[in-house]
Amino acid sequence: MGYFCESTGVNFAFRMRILALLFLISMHLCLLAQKDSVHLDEIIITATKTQRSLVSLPMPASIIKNKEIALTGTSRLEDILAEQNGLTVVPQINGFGNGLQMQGLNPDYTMILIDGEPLIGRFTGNLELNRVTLSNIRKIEIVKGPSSSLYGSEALGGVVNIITKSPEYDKFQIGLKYASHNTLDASADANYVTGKFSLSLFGNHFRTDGFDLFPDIFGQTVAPYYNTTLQFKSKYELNENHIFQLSAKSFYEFQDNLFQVVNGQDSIKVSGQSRIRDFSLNPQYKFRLGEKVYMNASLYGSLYHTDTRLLKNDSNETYYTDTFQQTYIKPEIQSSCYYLKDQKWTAGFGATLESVETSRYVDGEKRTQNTKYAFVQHEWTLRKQWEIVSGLRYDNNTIYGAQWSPKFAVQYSAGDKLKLKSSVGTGFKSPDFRYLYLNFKNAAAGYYVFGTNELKAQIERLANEGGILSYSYDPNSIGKLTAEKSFAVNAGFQYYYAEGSHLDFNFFRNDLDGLIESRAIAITKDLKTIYSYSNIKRAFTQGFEFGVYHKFKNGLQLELSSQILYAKDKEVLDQIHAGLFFGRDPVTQESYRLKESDYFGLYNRSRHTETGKVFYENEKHHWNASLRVIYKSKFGIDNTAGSVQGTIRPSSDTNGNLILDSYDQFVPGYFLCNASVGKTILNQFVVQLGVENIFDYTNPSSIPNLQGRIVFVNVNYKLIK
Amino acid sequence: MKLLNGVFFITAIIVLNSCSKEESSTLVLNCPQNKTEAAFQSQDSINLKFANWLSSAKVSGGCNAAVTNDHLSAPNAFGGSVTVTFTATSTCGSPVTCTATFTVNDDPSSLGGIRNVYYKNLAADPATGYDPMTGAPIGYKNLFTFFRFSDTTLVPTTDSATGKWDIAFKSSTIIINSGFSGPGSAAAFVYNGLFSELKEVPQDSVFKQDVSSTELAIGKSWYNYDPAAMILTPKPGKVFVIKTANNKYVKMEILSYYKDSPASPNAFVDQARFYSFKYVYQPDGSKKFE
Repeated sequence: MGYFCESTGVNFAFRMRILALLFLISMHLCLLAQKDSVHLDEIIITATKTQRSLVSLPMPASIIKNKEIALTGTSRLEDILAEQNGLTVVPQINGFGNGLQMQGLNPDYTMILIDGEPLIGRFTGNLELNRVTLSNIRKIEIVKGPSSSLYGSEALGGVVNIITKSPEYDKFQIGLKYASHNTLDASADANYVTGKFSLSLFGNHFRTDGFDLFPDIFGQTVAPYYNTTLQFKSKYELNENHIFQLSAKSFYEFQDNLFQVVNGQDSIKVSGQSRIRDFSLNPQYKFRLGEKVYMNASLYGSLYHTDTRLLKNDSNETYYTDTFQQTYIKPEIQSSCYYLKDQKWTAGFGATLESVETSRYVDGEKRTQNTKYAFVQHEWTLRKQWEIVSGLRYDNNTIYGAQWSPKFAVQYSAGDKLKLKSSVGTGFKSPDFRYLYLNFKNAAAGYYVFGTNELKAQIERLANEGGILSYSYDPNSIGKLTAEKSFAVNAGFQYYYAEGSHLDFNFFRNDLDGLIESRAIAITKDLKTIYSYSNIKRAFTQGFEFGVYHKFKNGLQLELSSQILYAKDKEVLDQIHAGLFFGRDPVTQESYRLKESDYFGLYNRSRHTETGKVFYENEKHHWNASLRVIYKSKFGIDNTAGSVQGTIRPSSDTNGNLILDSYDQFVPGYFLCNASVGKTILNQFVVQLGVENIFDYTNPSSIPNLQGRIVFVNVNYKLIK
Repeated sequence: MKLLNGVFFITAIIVLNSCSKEESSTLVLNCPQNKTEAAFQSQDSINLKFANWLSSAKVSGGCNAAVTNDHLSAPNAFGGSVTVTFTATSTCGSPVTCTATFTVNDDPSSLGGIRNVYYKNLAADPATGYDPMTGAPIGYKNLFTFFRFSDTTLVPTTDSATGKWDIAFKSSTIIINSGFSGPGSAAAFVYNGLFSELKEVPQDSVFKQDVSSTELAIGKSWYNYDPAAMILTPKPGKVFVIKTANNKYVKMEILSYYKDSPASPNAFVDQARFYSFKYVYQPDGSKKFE
């Protein structure tokens, strides 16, 4: 790994040396250490990159178990995440997927991992959650609050780690799900274990006719598509000290588009295909030195490719083409060990090498950015009552420079039942390539968006061609983009009042600085607005989550949880405090001054989210059932939300000030109810019936990702040798 | 002043009583007098005055006489008039009707010399047609529309090189008669605050002139543009403070960019480039607006 020896400058080399020294010292001390006691409850790995019991974890985290996924009958990642307290799946209007919002932070700021390695292929910051099948998931770990101290960029709001099943014994399993809209989800999983070698092969095929929320308009809201996932996992245990693993995953999606583009009084019918290809490979070597030192060397490579071609139906002329290819390579070496009694050191270093090549950038050339990083973490159980985790990570990015991410978390056990926990930490996100290189022209709506690196040249070109009418911002002062940053505090408690039952409370506050927003730079003589990006926004999200998880003796389990969220723009608040924020009544056209109490907050966020779930399992007669109710209170949508099937999504802002306040038109709150019932026959077959969105609630223009009622039947067959 | 000087439509129609058994009297309906209110009161105040005015209709005579009206809503506080028909009914005899008009003045220049104006639909180079193929608006003339505050008058384009105009509009661009834009000495700045609260020009105000096409005193600072809906919205709380070409002070607020000021404009239906605005003109040269 000669790569790691390279250094971009003295400063970097010096810091790397300090970290390397810390690493060596901790390794040395490990050899003197003793063995820790093993917890026998739920294990979570994402929060500390080490095996750790959920009960002893000082940060807010939760686990969605395989059993919950099976009981609900959900089959794609989006469906199960949307039912979790504090997580919201927000629609992205242009049809390129729905993003995940955590603690009120935008989808850009939550890292999604599969088996500990990042899922790539974001479109305008969102990861398409339907890409991930749930059929081979062992569990999903969710860590809230910044985790940049371990994962670096992107893990600003939190981390969702999807852990797939590993081969444990010989088995063959097939699952078939058929649902409304002619949706089929079929999967097969074969595992083979022999002595030191184990192997699993998994395949999933998903197809749907899509759905149409506007039957009167040509085309569908979501066009028909299918996708195929193949996964291979293998493990070879040479002996208990040396383990080799190799996993590979491939994904292919094909969508047949047919829709109409409305432009003024004109409409163009358009059709064509879009394809997504995604491939990843992950060899790993695990090494154990005695009982005390564990090491893991891994190389992760991922390729994501999309390709869209749309033709005008009448003339067969090209309407739109787009290609996008992203590669991501990440070598990492990590080591954990025990230092003295009840202490554990973890340290690691690695690099990420990213490139993007797309028609959306000015010349279609490949763009790259590389990051070198190192981290250390110390876990300490003090007098059996205190759990202390502290960590620090250093990242050095070829474009955005250095970034330090510290984290400190502590838990105090007041008796066996009550755990008080709090954590502080920082997070960051290096800007996407698009913020630097985007070259986007929307001829119909009359605007351009240029990345900051392209802005000057493009403005010069436009100035030569037709001329710039006026500047609203000096393009020379747009400057270099820097990483977006957060500082977060989480504090709460867990009270384990009975076997399998607990109360959970967590307060959170995220202070966000330097958020990137588009900014109008100039207007051309033919009245097209030119936008670019700048680190201008300061915001915060804060609130709390509360949950009761109660297990009855008869197989009934009840979960009630809620989140209260306040997310506001600090600039807006400052102006309101100064008495300089106004609204205009759209009917009387009278302007008025806004009070602080009038300001609702950022768009796309409900103040209240409530979740109620009941799970029932009858062990005697082998049947189970679930009922889940999710409530989201009113929220607003902003004016950049675009259109759905050519229907303009109405902006919530009605009083001309662009922010969401009490005078505006909110999207009303709504309930969703999902239910399922399943039975196991002959120990091998599981038959399940379910309904999602029982009351068929839809709001086509405001919540276009909410399809109506879906009925499904699920059949599973499992053969164990 | 047409309405002030107009004929009062007080109509009292006397109908002979046809009730026979009791002492009968004639059903008489007295409409309220036509009324004119000054501009730039609040809408609430206009609504209240309108309601009082409606209830001042008087009926007498008849049997169990009652008066109703056709319940129109009050005129807009910026100006307009409403003609209401009142109907008196009686259990004996035919109903009687009368009409009267309630006006909110939009040009009360007589009020203390200060001019309060609500100006509707100033055309700022609107489209003159639509592309028959695409439906896109076409036929822009690329000309400014020039305006003078003192007598609320549009100034012909031929006078653009004179000091006869104060402000001019073309699509979303606003220029003032100064520097780069014209020979005049007008100056302006954008004040952040409420129109009604700006009672005089602040002492520390810095007036600017148009320096170049990209450095205008007002320019394009006054609106937000939504590229998805293609809708331009004037920012609330932006008040233009203008020193006119003849050294008088004006405060002005743009209210709408679309013809007839629709509450929620639609880019495909409503015609853009039609300004509605209100302004107060102080003719005595002082900085006070009231």
